[in-house]
Amino acid sequence: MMLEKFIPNRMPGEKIVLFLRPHWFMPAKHYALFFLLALIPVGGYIFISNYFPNLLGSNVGYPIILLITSIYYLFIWLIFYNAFIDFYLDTWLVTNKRIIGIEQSGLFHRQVYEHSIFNIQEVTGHQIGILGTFLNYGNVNIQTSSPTPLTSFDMVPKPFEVAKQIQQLLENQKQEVQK
Amino acid sequence: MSISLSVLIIIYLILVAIFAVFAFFNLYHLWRFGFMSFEGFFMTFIFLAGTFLILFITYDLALSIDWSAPLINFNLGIFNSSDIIGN
Repeated sequence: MMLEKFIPNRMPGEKIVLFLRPHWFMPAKHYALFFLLALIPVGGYIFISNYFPNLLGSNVGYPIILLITSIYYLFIWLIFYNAFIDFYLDTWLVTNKRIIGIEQSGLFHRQVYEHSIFNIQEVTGHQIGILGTFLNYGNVNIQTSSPTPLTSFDMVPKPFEVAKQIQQLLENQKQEVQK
Repeated sequence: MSISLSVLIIIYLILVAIFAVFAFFNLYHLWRFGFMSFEGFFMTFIFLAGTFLILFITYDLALSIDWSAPLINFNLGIFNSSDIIGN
């Protein structure tokens, strides 16, 4: 699998079992907000053309409005792309040896953590709220015996299936060790 | 003595430069840490295309403006109101 080259410090024989990102609805909420923000200059244009029509035809007013609108849209566009990157770089990998979490919070805060599959004690899936139930997303909480006992995959699709697959993987690994 | 409208262009270009720095950091993050896939390339293409479209439309509309016109005329007072509201 091509993605396996992205496993940090890959161990011999390590294979990706699950590759998870937050549910698509998480960035969609932000995109809806940006769509509303993008409509503000349109509302401003309607307001100015109704109440201050001369402003749009003036020598100074028009250039100021043009440049402010341009900068506004550029930064809206940048925040939109930044929200995508935040979503896109939040990744959880479940391999046959480890659980690896890679979380991006803003531009300059990146956290990578990992737990051996043998440190896992309990895996539970949670669905929260109406949207989570209908769109089938939620959290997967993983209790481990390491110094940071609880790891969570936040807002991933199909949390119960993910929890089941991790438990199955754990059972398989324990059986292999016992052989 | 007066300050021309071209001052606004300089302020605009400074803000565009700040935009470019943050856009570069975003692109770097995606390239450095991203799992390059169709989604990543597609969204980056959309972002760059949208950026060039905004800049091109601004450039096209700005061509018709006389940037040598005074923004502040110290002989008449700061921000001549008739220039701003067009009366």
